[in-house]
Amino acid sequence: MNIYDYVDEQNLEESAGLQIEVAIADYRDVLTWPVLPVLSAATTNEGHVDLAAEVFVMKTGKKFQKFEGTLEKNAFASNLVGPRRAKSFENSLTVAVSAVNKSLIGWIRANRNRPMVVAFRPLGMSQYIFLGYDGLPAEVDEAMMDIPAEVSGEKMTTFTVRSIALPPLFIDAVPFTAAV
Amino acid sequence: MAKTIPILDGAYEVIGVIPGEIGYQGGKVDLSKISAAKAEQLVQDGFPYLRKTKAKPPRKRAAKAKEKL
Repeated sequence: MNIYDYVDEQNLEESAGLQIEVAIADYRDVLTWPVLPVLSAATTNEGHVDLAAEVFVMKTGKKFQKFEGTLEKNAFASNLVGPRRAKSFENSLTVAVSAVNKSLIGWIRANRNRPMVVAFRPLGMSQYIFLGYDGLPAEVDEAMMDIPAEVSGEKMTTFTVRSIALPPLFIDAVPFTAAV
Repeated sequence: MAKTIPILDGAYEVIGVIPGEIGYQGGKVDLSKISAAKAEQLVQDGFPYLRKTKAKPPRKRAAKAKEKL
């Protein structure tokens, strides 16, 4: 694995924030995982995390489901954790909806202990970032449903999905249609 | 080997999924509704769920009939 220059590039679509829609699949519904980049073969910085046209091959009838959050509420963070010379990634995606209802509570109940893969897109970026991989599923770390007392308060359902070890990985496409 | 489903009169094949929505390039592509031009563009882009159908070799009988002529 070599070290490469990083040269800042102007991106006219640069922006903070995430698209509202998140793609979520059951970890066990993935039949074949997209192949990770070989670190020793990468010839660019992005080559270490970009899976490009690799695909999630899902089990027959399975696909990614959509979860629609609220604009400017979803957030992502990735941190390096661990001792010197043993740094690892800890990634978390927070999805928030300005509502509390039985559909959301039902979703939390059904998925709070489910190993999963989640994919999302930062604004201005065409590829998905995904969390969760073979042997390293992403999981719901915490969830909260809040109905404030004041009518001016913000009703909110929030859950955070966490993955570890691998960095955020980039992929071109995510299937919302069932595998055959 | 992934199963394929022909679309656009068999000119293209959807790979591994039912023709439907795929999240791609900041938006979504619905493979059940795309035009031939869009399909061609996706194939050129390296879109992983679609390919052009390979041209079938001519049938032997037809070839023999041609030989007779």
